[in-house]
Order: sequence, then C-alpha cells, then structure tokens
Amino acid sequence: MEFYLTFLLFLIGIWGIISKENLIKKIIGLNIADSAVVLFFILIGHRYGSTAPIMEKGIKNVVDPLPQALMLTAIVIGICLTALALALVLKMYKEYQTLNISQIEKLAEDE
Amino acid sequence: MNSIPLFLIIIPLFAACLILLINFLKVNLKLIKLISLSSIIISLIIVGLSIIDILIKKETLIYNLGGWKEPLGICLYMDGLAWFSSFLGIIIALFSLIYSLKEKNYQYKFYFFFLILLAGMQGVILTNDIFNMFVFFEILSIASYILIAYSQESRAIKASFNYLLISGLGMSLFLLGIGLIYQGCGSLSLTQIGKTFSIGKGIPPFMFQLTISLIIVGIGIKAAFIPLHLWLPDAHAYAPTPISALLSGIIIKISFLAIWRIINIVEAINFQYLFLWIGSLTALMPVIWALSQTDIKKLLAYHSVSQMGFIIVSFGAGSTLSLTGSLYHLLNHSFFKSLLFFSMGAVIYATDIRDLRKLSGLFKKMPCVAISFLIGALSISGIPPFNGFVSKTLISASLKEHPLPFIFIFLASVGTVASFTKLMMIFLSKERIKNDNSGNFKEGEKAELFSNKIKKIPKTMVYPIVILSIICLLSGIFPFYIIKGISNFILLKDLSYSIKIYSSYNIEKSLFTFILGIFLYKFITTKYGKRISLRISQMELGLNNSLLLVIVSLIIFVIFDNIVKY
Amino acid sequence: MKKEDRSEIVSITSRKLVPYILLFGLYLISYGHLSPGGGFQGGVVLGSGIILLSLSRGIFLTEKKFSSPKITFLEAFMITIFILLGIIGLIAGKSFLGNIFPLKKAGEIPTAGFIFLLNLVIGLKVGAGIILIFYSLCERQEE
Repeated sequence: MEFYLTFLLFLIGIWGIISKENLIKKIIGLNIADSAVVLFFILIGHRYGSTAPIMEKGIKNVVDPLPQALMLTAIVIGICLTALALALVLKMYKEYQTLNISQIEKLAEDE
Repeated sequence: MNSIPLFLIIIPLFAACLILLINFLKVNLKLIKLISLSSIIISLIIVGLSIIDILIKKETLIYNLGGWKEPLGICLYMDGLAWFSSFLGIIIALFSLIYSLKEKNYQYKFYFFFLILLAGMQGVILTNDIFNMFVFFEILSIASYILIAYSQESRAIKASFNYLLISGLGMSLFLLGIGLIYQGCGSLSLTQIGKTFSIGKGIPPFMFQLTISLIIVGIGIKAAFIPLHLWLPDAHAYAPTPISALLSGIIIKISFLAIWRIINIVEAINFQYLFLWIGSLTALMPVIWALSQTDIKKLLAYHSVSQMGFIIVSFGAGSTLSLTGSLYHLLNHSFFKSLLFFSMGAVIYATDIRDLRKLSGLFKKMPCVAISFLIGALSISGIPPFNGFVSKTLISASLKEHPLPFIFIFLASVGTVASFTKLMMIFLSKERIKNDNSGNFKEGEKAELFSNKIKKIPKTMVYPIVILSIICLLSGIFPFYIIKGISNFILLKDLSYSIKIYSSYNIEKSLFTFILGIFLYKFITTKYGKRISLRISQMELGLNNSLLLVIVSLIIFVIFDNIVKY
Repeated sequence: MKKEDRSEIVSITSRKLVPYILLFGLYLISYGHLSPGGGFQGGVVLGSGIILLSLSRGIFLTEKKFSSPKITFLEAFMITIFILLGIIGLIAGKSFLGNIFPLKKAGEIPTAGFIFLLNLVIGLKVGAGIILIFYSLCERQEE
C-alpha cells in the first residue's frame, strides 16, 4: 500500500514538472518527485516494529540504515539543486519580468 | 599503485578547494591559473603512469575507500575502458584550460567549477558503486549548470535552467532505478549487481526491464540521444567556448560510457539492440536541424548530437568491430569537436558575431584558425586522410547486416558535409560588404560589419587549436595502432579479421558522400531551400514538450522488450 | 526591515530560541556517531538557527555579525580540512579516509575513531553552506 502511495506521489511530482507553466511550480514538482523517491528508499529499509539501528543490548530488530544514509546525501543534493534552480529563476525573472514558461519562450524567440 | 583512481578524483577536488581558499589572500589570478593547470598536468602524469599496469599487464586497479572491502564499502575501479575515458577527459580538459587562460572574464569561480567538473567526471568514470555514481553525476551536472550560465546572458541562463529541469527529472528517475536495484538484490556495488541482478536470479522480467530503463533514461539525458537531446543545442551553444568543448567533447561521452558499463554488467542485450535504432535516428534527425541553423556554435552543438548517434549505433550493432569503431569514433569526436568549438570560439572572440550570415572572408585575417578548422571539418565529414574517415569506415563496415541504419548513417554523413560546407564559407567566401543573403539586417549594420574590428587572438587560444588539428591528421594517417590498441587492450578482444581502411571502395564512397553533400549545400542556398530551412529552424520544441518526451521515451524503453517478442 | 515593522513577539522568542537551536545543532554533530544525527543534520540545524536570527532581526544586522566573506571562508576551509583528513589516513599507511585513532568499546564517548572529527568538519561546512544559500537568495537587488 505504502509503495503505491509513494508511486502516486512520484507521478504527482512528474505531472507538476511537465504540465505547470509557472517556473516555481515546476521546481516544486521536482521537489515532490524527489521526496517520493526518498520515501521509497526509506520504505525499502523499513520493517514493522524495528527500531533505530543503534546496536545496544536487547535490541534485535533494526531498520536497514543504508537507505537512510543514502537519502541524506540525496536530500542534500536536492537542496543544492533547488537553490541553484531558484537562483536561475530569479535571474530569468529579472530579464523577462514573468515566470510563465511559454511567455518566456515567446520573448526569447523574439530577441 | 592501486591508489591511482583515488588521486585522479581528489587532485582536482583539492586544487578546487585550494583555489577557493587562497582567493581570500587577494592573490593574483595568475597563481589560481597556475594551480589549476598544474593539477591537471599532475593528473595527466598519473594517468600516464598507470598505462603500464592497466594496458600492458591488463590488470584492474581496485581501491577500497576507507579500507572497507567490496560488498560493504565503496570502491574505485579502473579497467581499460575507464582508463581510456579518464585519459581522454584529462586531455580535453587540459586543452580547454589552456584555451581559457587569456580570457579576461573568467574569475576564480570559473576555475573552481572547472576543476569540480573534472573531479565529478573522473568520479563517474572510476566509481564502482552505483549510488556513488549518482552523486558524482550530480556534482558534474551542478558544476556544468553553473558554467553554462557563467556569461549571465539571458539565453545562457534559460538554457542552463532547461538543462537543470530536464536533467533533474532524469536524475530522480535514475535514483528510483537505484532504489529498485537495491530492493531487488540488496547491494549497490556494480560487481555485486552484475552477479545477482538478472532475470535468471529471481528478478521479475518486468521489474528488470523497468529498472534498467529508468537508469538508462536517467543517464541518457546527459548522453543526449533522441528524444532526450532537446536541451543540448542551447546549452552547448551558449556556454563559454572552453566549456562547450568540454561538454561536447567529453561529458556526453562519459554519460554514454556509464550506460555502456551498466548494460555490459547486467547483460541487457535487448537494450543494446534498441540502441541500434535510437542511434541511427540520433545520427540523422539533428543534421536536418543543423542545416537550418545560422548560429555557428548552435550548428556545432546539433552536430554533437548527430555524432553521438554514430557512436551509439555502432555500440548497438554489438560486434567487436563495431564496438572498436564506436570507441574510435568517440575518441575522434572528442578531438575534432573540441577543435571545431575552439576555432569557432576564436572567431566569436575576434569578431563578436555569432551569425554565420554576417561572417565572411575570414581566411585572410586568421589563416591559422581557418586551416585548423578546415582539418576539423574534413575530419567530421569523413574525408580521407583524416581520423573521421577511419572511424566512419569502421562503423559503416560493421553495419553491413543492418541495411536501414546503414542508409541513415550515410544520409547523416551527407548532411554533415553540407552543413560544414556552409560553415566553411565564413572563411572561404569573399568578403562581402553588402549582405544580400538575407533581408533581415538593417542598413546601418552592414557598413560596420568588417571594418577591421577584428581583435587579435591570443596565442594560448591558437596552440590548442593547432595541436588538436595535428592530432586529427596523425590519428587519421596511422589508424592501425589505435584500432589495435582499442580492440586488444580496452575491449580485450581480438579483431579476428583485418580491415583495409584505405581501400578504393571506401575512398570512392567518401568522395561520393562529399559530392552529394556539396549538392545538398547548393540546394539549401537556393531560394526554395532557404524557405524550408527557415521553416525547420522555427520548429523547436519547448521545455514542456522536452520534459514530456523524457517520460515518453521511458515508456518506449519499458515496453520495447514486449514489442520485440511479439 | 524597519524597527516598527518588527513584531515584538517574534523578536523576543527568536532571541531566546537561537542559542538553544545552535546548541542542539552542536549536540547533533558531536553525538552523530552514537545516536541519530550527524554532520549533515547538525549542520542544517546550525544553519537554520542563523537563518531564524536573520528572519527576525533583519538580514542587515545578522550579516554584520556573521558576514558573508567570513562564512565563505569557513566553508572553503572546512572542505579543505576534510580532504586533508582523508589524506592523513593515506599517509598513515591505511586508505583514504581510513581511521587513524584507536577505537574503543561501543557506547563510550570518544569511540568511532575520527568519525567525530569528520562530523564536526561536515557540520560546520553544511551550516555555512545553508547560511550562504540563504544570504544569496535574500540579496537585495540594486535598482
């Protein structure tokens, strides 16, 4: 069930990237898709009733720590990507005075 | 000796950090240039040292990071193919850096990101862990987004943003593929994946198909085959010239070699067959767009896609001969495409004009660049005795069993000849004051076109161009050592039969291509041809469509296996 | 931001909250090898403390204290230190990023070798990076 929900979230993200005209919304869509992938990884490592992977006495069931560690990296990369994308959008907005992609493309063609 | 792959990654990285740090001491820019140049030269020496181990003893260097062995830790891995691409990357990076030394706009940030790009590139080639590959891909692409937008022109920023969005989508698909692999076989090391991730070992066929398609499409956006190539012409055209050369010359090939490695490891033969068709389309389609371009760098960028098609199609054919041809063309394309970008960059540097209709009669003003460009153009068109001729001969010899891709490749060669004749005219044609080619220019512009405003090209720009053109000539005249080297030492297979490169049939074929290309060029310059090319150049798909095409191609990849079966 | 625009509540709350956020960030960094946490998370918490400060007190005042060049220097310095730490492992005869300190039993504080050091370096670097991203997106345009 959770896997399907994650997949749905991923599809929502992709839909946002493709169909939205606003550049900021496209970036939000990218972030949603990324979060869905992160959730997917966490679900792979997770088992019901297990605890954090700190091996002390009396703890048997732990989650797989590897996907969590990987996702930390992926999240940081996502932050960098989002920051860069927002900076580029800022520059484009200053240039074209609009955030709508089709208008920007029209303006760029006229140049 | 085992730590060679490690040093290839951390030397550029460390030099980049050093540049960032010593910039606070308010040092001269010369010191920064010196640091970046020396780091690349040291990397080159290190790669040169490893030639004995890898190519002659045929060993594989494996380096465990942090002392953790294979299934647990991340390890670096260097075999013949990795050595080849790493060496090529450093060479092209060295030329690009030398080319950029005298450009005044490039501050310390340029060199910083340049070295980060180099480190990311080496990491992608050398890592043996698929998640680590993802991380290095992201390092590489973030550095390249910034470098593409470095000039801060509106077109460059838009191109960079398009690339960012498309490639960001691709990278999340790639990450999803990694997740599916981890779920399927519980390991991320490529060696382990090769052992456990296959249909025979209990992975459902659909899952296998989906996973590999996700990974191929994710990386394929950077390798720019059809229909994932739409970001490339803008991004490569509006980037600073050394970066265009680096991106076209090596980055797209690194991505393709990553696909190559993954397909080899999981033994996905079906996909290799699909690449035969994708490659032939990739060779042909962009040429049509390239013929209609008027921006000189954008024309070259379309040809980068087209030449990638040559490489991909012969990878798809799958025999030892065609794989050799593919790697040879990859090598050649790195050299002549960076040569072409450098010389066009020199033209733009000297005249500040990007439109080929406004440029003419440059031969007298920059003969050195013109001759080198001529060598590059002849190489890319496949005219003997230059290196493009050899690799194109290998490719078409290996495509004899596949008639339709063969025809596509032939047509693409004809188009290449035509569009480079068009580009060559900026040097060869007589200097024209009155621009009768198109009515688009105002009266005032015509007068100031060539009133001796041409800047002098610095020597650091001329040296890489000349050296690269000599390489193009030499590797065309003595092809046998390179062919033998690629097949024996890198692919580790013997070419069972010998091929005659300079046979009369091959030379006649290339002359025939040349003549057809000239006719095509004559056709474009007629009134009717101009109208068609104007129509074609307006048919550029927007960002939304190119994002949609990513998903469409993913679906094609997923269902392809079923189409072949039934 | 003008003084009268500023909300009293936000200003006072953030002033009291920021030291604890920074402390919590340092805790996450320094216990990263024993409990959930680590360099990245702690660094982000550190960065968010400073971001909270600049949201409530205005970016101008914050930038006086934590100036952009200083933070850039911190970031560049830390990444260089990280690579040097890795190379020290190489020189000591182990591999890149190999542990050079003696290991102790699980649960003791100076356990896990020099992972603590790496966490500290990464934490400061990530914190500096987050602050820098925030600064450059907030940069006022000269018009």
